Amino acid sequence: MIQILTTLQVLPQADPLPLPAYPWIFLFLLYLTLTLHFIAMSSTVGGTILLAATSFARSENMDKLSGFLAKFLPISLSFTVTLGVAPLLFIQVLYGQLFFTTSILMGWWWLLILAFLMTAYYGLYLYQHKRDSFPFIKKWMPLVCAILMIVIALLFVMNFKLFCRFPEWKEIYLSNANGWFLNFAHPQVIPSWIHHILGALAIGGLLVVLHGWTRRKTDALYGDWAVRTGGIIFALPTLLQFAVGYWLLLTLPRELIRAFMFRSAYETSILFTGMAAGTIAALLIAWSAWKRRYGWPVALSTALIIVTTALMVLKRAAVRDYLLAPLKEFNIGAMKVSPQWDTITIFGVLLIAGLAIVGWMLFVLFRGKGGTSEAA
Amino acid sequence: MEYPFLEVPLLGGGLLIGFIAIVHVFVSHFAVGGGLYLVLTEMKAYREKNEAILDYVKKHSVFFILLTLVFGAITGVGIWFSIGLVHPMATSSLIHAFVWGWAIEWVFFFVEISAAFIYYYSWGRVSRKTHLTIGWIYFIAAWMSLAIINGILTFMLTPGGWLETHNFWDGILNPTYFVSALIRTAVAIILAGLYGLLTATWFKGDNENRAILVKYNSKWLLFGFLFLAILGPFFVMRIPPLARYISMGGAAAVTLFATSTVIFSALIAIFTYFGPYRQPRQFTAIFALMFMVLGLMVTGVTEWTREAVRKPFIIYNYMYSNGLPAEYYPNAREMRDKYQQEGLLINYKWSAVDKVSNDNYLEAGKELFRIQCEQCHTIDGYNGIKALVFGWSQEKLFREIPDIHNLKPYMPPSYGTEEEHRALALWLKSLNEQPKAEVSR
Repeated sequence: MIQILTTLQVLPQADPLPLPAYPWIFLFLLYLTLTLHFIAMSSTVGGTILLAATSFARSENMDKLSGFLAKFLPISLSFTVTLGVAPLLFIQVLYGQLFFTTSILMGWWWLLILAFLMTAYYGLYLYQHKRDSFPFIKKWMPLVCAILMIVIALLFVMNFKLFCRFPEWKEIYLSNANGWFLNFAHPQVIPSWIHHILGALAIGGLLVVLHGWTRRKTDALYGDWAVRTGGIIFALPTLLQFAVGYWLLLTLPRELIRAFMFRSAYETSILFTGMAAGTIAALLIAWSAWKRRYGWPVALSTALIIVTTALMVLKRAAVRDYLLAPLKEFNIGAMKVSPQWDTITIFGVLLIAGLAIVGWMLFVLFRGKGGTSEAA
Repeated sequence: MEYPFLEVPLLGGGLLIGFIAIVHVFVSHFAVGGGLYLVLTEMKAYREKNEAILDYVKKHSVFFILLTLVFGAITGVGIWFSIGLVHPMATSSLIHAFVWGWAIEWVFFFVEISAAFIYYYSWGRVSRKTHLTIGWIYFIAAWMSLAIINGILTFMLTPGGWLETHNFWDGILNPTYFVSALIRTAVAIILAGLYGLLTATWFKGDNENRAILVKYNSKWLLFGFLFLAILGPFFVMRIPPLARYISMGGAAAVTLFATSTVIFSALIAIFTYFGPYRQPRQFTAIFALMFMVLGLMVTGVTEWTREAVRKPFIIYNYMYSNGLPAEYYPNAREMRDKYQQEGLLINYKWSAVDKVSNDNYLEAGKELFRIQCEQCHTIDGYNGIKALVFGWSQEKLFREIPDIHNLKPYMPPSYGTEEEHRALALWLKSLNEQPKAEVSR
């Protein structure tokens, strides 16, 4: 009781300005962009871990794979950041009272993320351009980048799990951590972090599968190898997720586990559909690699993984909202709303136009073959 | 009053944001002007059938990608992170007012990043016309991104009609919006030329083409500075009177910085004319680097001045720079009365002490400093309060604290009870009394 009273005292008041759209619009955009961010982030983190592994397991195929990853990763990192900006925006507008508070409690770590990110980013570019001139870069840089990314993932998980430790916020603040607080104590931090990293590794594997698939026409042996290697890398962590997922589930309050497993048809179906989609994707990839039938099974697995990611984003939000429920003063549904329909419409129209323009640019890029005398 | 406080020793939160913002501005404006530069220089190479210039543009585009997409993008996120940590109240207000502006800006950012990569990877793969179209898409998206962020930045200094209507467009298209958008465009053009000078002299190439490129880049600088000279006075005319007063004599440091902006800019323009424009063959990479340093200094002092003239507000007439409510903040009067009657300590959610007593006046004073002053002042670092109140008697401190906004118009009013003012005065006095004041919690 004392704890709850302290909490109510420290929860920052909601901003007096109304939300400029109904919460469901923000939530929809938050979940959509977060799903896209997670896919880009997983490709980058998983790809970088695999790149680090190729540095230690030399072979001709590994060299070809590292060549592909060297070109791919800086681009995917760039899109990880770009696609991360949007959910950051929507988190701040809906959950600002919590997000600003927890970010301040671990403020210096939060700022260090930028330094880690920039180092990893330039590290990947150094690897891309200078790996043949400097053996050190070739061997160790991917590992350094991978470690930095894994640490960034941990810091992100820590911040968002700190939302749920609201009864302890003031105690943490007054303990003179001075912005250096690390949220190791929350029981979900470690399993959730491992859950994300395994997911990233799986998507990294899927990336190798897709890469192998596209390379089979020009380099059949390598393409085949990449699909099978990627398939194994995809399937194993995905199956391991059962163990980590179970661990994660056990850290939740009993009431929530019951809701997820039995009580709420919606929650149960989301959890089991997500698990089933991930499992089918893993088995399908394993089967397609075994049978060497690539086309539709690879495409279907990719689609299933996107579905799994989206469902896990919803699941993650459901856990957070449940754990925040005792914090009665924080109620997104009760926030004042004054929709700015004109700007919302402009955003929607520009988003469609922007996607069309990017689509057109990609189309002309991939249609262009080697250039002509008139080529730029 | 709502959020915990992140102490930034020696620098202070403002300078922390400042460092990130200055380097970001120096690169992000290049990301805009440099986009225009890439397409126009590529067109020049085709028009003049000059392979050397075309080769230069290709190399320049690598440099452009490595600097803008990595450093520019991450420091941009850095501003987001740092303002949320140092000014959560103001960030929350801005996000609530302009989240759709940022969302629209994000669409342009997405197109911009995609176009930058595709422009770079499509060299030699698509027709010249298509390649130039991609370059134009990049530039338009980058400029639109600037145009939107400019609205939010100028809003903070001149919120105009928004204070009463809370209408998105009143806030974005505020009194300094257009002139500032043009000024930022001019700065983007200048930076395109400045970075161009560096790469033109840095990359290997024959002397003849290097001289052509140096002269060409210097024209970008001169053209940009000409616009800046025309637009500058219009901007000054449109800013609030207090901001003009602060930057033109009212506050010595701000005046000095504002003057430095003008003098450094004029110097770069003069150096450009007599250096790379008149003597392009003598201009080397080392000189270009020195121009870059000067350019960074101008960016630094200008950004610092732009922030300083907004004092005592973070959002003009809406929120003071310490996050406390100003005139137009919803329920500002009620909140102010509450703070004056009940005190600040009891209302600050994160305070270790609830009220001043004989046993805790130093601790309470330190807490009050944190609530009202530490957003701008450090204890003994940048804008350090210890040095500022050196030699002040306790009576003088106690007398001036409640009246500080009248004595120094760039300071926010001091809230709190008389007892709290006394505790703050005692703590401030204690800073210069003993080597180690008993200030820790």
